[in-house]
Amino acid sequence: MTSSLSRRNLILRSSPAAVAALAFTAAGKNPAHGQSETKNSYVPKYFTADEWRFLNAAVERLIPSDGPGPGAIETGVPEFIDRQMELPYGHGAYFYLQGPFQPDALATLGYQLRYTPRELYRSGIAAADDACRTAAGKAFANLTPDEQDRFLSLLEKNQVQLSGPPAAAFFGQLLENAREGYFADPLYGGNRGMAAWKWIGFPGARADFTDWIDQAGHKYPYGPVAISGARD
Amino acid sequence: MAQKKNRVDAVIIGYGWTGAIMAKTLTDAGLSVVALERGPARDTAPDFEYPRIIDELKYAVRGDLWQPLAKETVTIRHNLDQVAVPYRKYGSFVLGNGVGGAGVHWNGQLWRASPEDLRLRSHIE
Repeated sequence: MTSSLSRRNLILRSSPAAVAALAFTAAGKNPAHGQSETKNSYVPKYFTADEWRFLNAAVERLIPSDGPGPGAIETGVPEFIDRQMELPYGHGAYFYLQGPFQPDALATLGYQLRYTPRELYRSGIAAADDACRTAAGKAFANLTPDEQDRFLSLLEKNQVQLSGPPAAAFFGQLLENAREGYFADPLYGGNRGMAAWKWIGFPGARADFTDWIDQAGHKYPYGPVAISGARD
Repeated sequence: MAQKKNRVDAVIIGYGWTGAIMAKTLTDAGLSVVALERGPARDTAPDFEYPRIIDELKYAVRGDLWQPLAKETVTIRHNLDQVAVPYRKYGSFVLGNGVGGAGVHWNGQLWRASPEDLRLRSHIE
């Protein structure tokens, strides 16, 4: 029995395009998807087992292991996000989260929700998994990669009504932290082996480039260095 | 308790690039100037030491050298007809904190100006 995320099963906010996007059946090419998380021995401190499965599956689709560069899983992005949740950042220490709240404020006035990053993940993952179960009878992590991509796309476009936070706010948090974990210094648990830096040719935490200012057109010859002093 | 200080000709709030250039100009003209900073004192060493200081996540993204918005923020709106709302997460502008101004808060990065930056009024009107 194939699963189907259909219009009647998801409460949509809009758009014929969204309906078309949902009208698929899951002849997934890779049902054993998610196997790469077994390579990771990290034990999450904040995320529950169900949340951890969602997180691993979601970042694998955002930065896939079979894409043009290293993937989120092998570079430690889930570990990065879990560790961030334990820091003041995860608890919302960087943001003004007191009232008054104006939920209908223009998007150009910036973030106006009351969620800390921890709360946004906790309620967002539960609501997203609920939406997937309602539509397809499975948690997000058990959908095929194609179905996962379509669902993430709906989240991004705010075309799924989640029971918790606005879908786009949750997706935005996830994408932002996935990028951070991929490209931040390895000291935070992601960008393992500086793999993301090597891939894009970023030299990392090098001290200065003054020897190279007058050598326009010459390729910078050095690989990345981490804040810890580790080199490639 | 209020402290009474000697009278000066000019007080500059915020001693970053702009404040420092203004102070130089004013003192060159013979005026006495006091510059004020809020937040912690910082110096080149140890506060801005390599390699710790070129941690992009900590400084350029999280903004550990900026004013923590959880502590104090401003409200924003585009015009007088709108309800002003708190500026909750850093976006289009950052508020300085501690010694060191824009040169610090930008992490020493000065990105190439976009075409819109160079004709901003035409862009927004």
